[in-house]
Amino acid sequence: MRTGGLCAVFATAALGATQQALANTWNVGCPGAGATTLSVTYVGGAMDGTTSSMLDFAADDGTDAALDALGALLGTPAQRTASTIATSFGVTLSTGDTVKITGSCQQDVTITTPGLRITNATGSGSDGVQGQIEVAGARQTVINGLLVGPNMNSGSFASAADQALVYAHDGASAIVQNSSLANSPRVGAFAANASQVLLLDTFIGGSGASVPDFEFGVGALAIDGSSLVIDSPDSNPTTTEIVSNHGGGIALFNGSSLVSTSAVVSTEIIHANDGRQLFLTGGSSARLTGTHVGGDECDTHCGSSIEAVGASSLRLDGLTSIGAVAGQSAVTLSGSSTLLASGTLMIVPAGAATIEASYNSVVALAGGNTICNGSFNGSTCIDSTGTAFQIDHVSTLIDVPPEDFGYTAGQDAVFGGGTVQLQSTVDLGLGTVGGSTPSLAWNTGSGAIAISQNSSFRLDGGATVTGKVKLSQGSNGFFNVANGGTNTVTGGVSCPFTAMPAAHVVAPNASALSPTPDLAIGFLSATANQCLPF
Amino acid sequence: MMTLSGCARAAAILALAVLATPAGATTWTVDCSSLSNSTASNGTTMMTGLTPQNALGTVLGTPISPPLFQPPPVAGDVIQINSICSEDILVRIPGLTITNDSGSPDTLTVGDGIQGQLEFAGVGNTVIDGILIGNDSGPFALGAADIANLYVHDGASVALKNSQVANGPFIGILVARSSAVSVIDATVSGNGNGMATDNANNMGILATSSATVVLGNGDGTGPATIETNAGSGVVVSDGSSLVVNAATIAGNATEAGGNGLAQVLLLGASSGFITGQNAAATTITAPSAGCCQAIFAGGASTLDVEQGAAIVGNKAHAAIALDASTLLLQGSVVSSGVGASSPGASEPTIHGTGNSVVALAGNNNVCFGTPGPGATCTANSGGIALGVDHVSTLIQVPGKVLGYPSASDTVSGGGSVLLQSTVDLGLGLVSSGPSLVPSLSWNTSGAAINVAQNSSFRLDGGTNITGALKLTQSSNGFFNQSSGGTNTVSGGVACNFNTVPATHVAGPTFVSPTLTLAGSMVSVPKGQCLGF
Repeated sequence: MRTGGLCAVFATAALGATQQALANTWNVGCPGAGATTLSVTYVGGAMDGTTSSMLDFAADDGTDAALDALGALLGTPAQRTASTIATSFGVTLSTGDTVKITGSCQQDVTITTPGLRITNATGSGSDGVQGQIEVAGARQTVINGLLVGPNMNSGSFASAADQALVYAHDGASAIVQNSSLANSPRVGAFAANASQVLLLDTFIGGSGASVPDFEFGVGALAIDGSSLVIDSPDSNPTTTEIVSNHGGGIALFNGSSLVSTSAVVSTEIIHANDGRQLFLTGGSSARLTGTHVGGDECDTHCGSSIEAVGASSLRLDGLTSIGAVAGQSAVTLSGSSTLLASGTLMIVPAGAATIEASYNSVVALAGGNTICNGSFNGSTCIDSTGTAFQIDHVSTLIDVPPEDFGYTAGQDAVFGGGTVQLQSTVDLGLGTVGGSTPSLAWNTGSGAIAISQNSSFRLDGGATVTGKVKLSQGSNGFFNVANGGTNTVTGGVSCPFTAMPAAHVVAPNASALSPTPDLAIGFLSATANQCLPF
Repeated sequence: MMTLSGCARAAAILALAVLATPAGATTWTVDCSSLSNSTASNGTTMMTGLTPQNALGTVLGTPISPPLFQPPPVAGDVIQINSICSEDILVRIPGLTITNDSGSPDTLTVGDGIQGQLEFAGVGNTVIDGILIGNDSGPFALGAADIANLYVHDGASVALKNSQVANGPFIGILVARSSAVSVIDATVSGNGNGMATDNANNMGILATSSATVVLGNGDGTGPATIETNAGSGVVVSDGSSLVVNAATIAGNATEAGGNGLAQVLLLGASSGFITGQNAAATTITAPSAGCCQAIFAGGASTLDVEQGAAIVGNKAHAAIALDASTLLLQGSVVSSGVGASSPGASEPTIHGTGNSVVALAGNNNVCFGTPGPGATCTANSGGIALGVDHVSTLIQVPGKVLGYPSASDTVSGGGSVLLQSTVDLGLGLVSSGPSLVPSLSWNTSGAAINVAQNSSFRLDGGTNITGALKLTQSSNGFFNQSSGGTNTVSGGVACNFNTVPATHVAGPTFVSPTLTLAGSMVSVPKGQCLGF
């Protein structure tokens, strides 16, 4: 926590949730063939430390028709109480109890008892559940070290009503730690109706095989005011990974949130999912710190690596890195959504803009970013032939002071052209960083920065553009050094027109814009590429 | 008025006492006053030989152990603390009341409380009443894994009453993941002193991941005080909510180097509802000589400030700043600029940037200077009261959108409208006692309203601007009286240019004084606007 933002918040949550020393331990055996078994090891009282005799339950058949031992203990969608347990063992399932599973139980379970810890018994990596683990309104459920998947024989859920391998809803909270949620027919981990799911050092892969849509086929899903947290609190090499899900990596709907905070830079990985790696809509928010989003590994139906629509908010920092396949953007914003980026690396091949913002959206750069349209050789962007930014439909690209958000100042490096259209605005330059380095270094590569259709372009000092700026179709340019430093556009600023000049530039001095543009001396005498003064 | 005899009064008090503790509930006592013989008792059994470092954890649990006192407390029980218990506590039992042992739980007893991290994991309906969480006299240390004096997470809820959360090295109160904390008649102060320059870990209160913080009661009583924390007073992020019913938030962002953040900071599609309850119940003030705004909302956040809230910026920074966010303002006093020696260089009192929206819903006093009674303002001449830039919008909206009657907005100070931004003002005439007055009264106070860089400015009737309006750089003005009333710009409307005119006006007769527009592009006198 001292250096990692909120990461320790979640680390502490996980640690605290593991302490239940005085609670009973339930031992569930699911051997695969024959009866499933249940016993309890008592803690406290006259039976302290002893283990009950084993009670047999129905064999696993992948349905809820006859409860196996795990279903009888935890409850199922059809039977939410375990009435036989107290009679048989003298105690019933209680908050703080641990449930240890040996083998793989083929059973949908519904947990309504808060504070349970469900874990493996053998550490073999195969202990777990084949079915849905539903957490209905119960808080602080810990799922640790389990392999959770669909019925291994059919590859499907037992019930058409099943939603996910881990499904927390109606105010529930689940901590999924050191586990694998593999090959869900629908969602991997699902938080609904003001619920939370924490994914700590956990793998989610192969979700959505039967429903590969962008909502119910994703690795992790939060809807209706729910939250997802991704973290690797112990900083070990086994980290949370959302990979190869068929409907996308993560989706957030209706005021939901995602916080991904890495203790080790780029160890949280959302990659190689079909569609989008992360999708936000309906006023949702996502903050990624030190997270790698590998949209460049997508194989099928690939979209933007991250897409935020509908007044959603995206914040990227702490060396988060994002890639995308050719023809797709690293980040797409639409419908009044916002991006705040600091210390982030975004790389996409030519074919689509690295960052695209449309319909009243805002891209705010807070220093230390590398925005690359091309390829990355390990330290710099090369082969920049495409567009780094596309800003259109009343959208904004702006530099913001890093200190306003608690960040350290750093240069933003942009490689690739820029397209600014339809009443959009660009305002760049925060002066110098460290006394002499421009806050912005934008190399347009083989492209240019093209501003058109009633748009605006402003540099405020500390901006170096290696390339050209072209203003046209009622768009105007403004150049000043209010933030310190100078502004340079090596290829010059021009205002091309066909018949009527309509692009203006506020007459700059050499500091405000170098080289100074050749301005027309009047409306009637303007020549091709000459800008009108105001 | 009915009076009670001594016996009846005693019986009534007894009855109230019985009511205060639910039937069947147990009152526990944890006495941490002895270094070697602290005690814990449930009224029938007492554990002795404890220390201040383990007595409370024995009853409530710790991060490394559940309660050792068996059976432990259950929902409805009351835990009374004597003296300061010094350990980290992790509570997994819902519905507890944790209070002092003075017999007056409604009063803070700074000698009773917890010095350590008090953590609630997924448990609801906790009440903390009348205790100190932290240290009253100065900084203290927490454990290496700790992050806050009070840490509420994963669907937990805590009502903090008559208490003090003080002088922690990290965050004062951390509310995470769909949890909620209400702060009633309580103070959060002096926290973050161990993380002076780490803005992620030194605020008074942090709500993150769909969490909720409520300050004060819904009727305006029980004000919270958030002050002298090293970082922000309150930070609300990642889809979280802040409700301020009654509070004083001031004097935070004390960290060295002026690298602090706003007193109240909203980020990541979060929302803030801040009300003064029409009784001056809420004041949020930026340090007069310090950094930052009183309120900053960024990243698609929404802010609703109403009913007499007083928001005060400082000589350099706004009272309210928005970045890609929205403000709905009603009936409030928003000011800044006191002491600014170069008022024109200060941030506007209300500043919206990056596609933000500022909506005035009536009865506001926006003042670059010192606000006085009613809607008066002693302006610091030359400063800017309202600024919108980078595709932002300033509009007036009817008070009825919030359920309030229409009323006039008063603005004192200049205006700045830049980079494709839009201003649309005038809701006609509104009632003011027996009279009808313009819905907007704006005195630019030695400045002007400058509209530049492809921006738009429209008046719809019911506006009275004392000062000048200047349109430049392809910005245009639009005047009509569709809302009723008239539009007055006492200093006139001018369209300045150096070489090529590029500013147009529509409806020149719908503003007083009326404008004479240029007849052609070829011979436009300086200051004259083009027609369409």
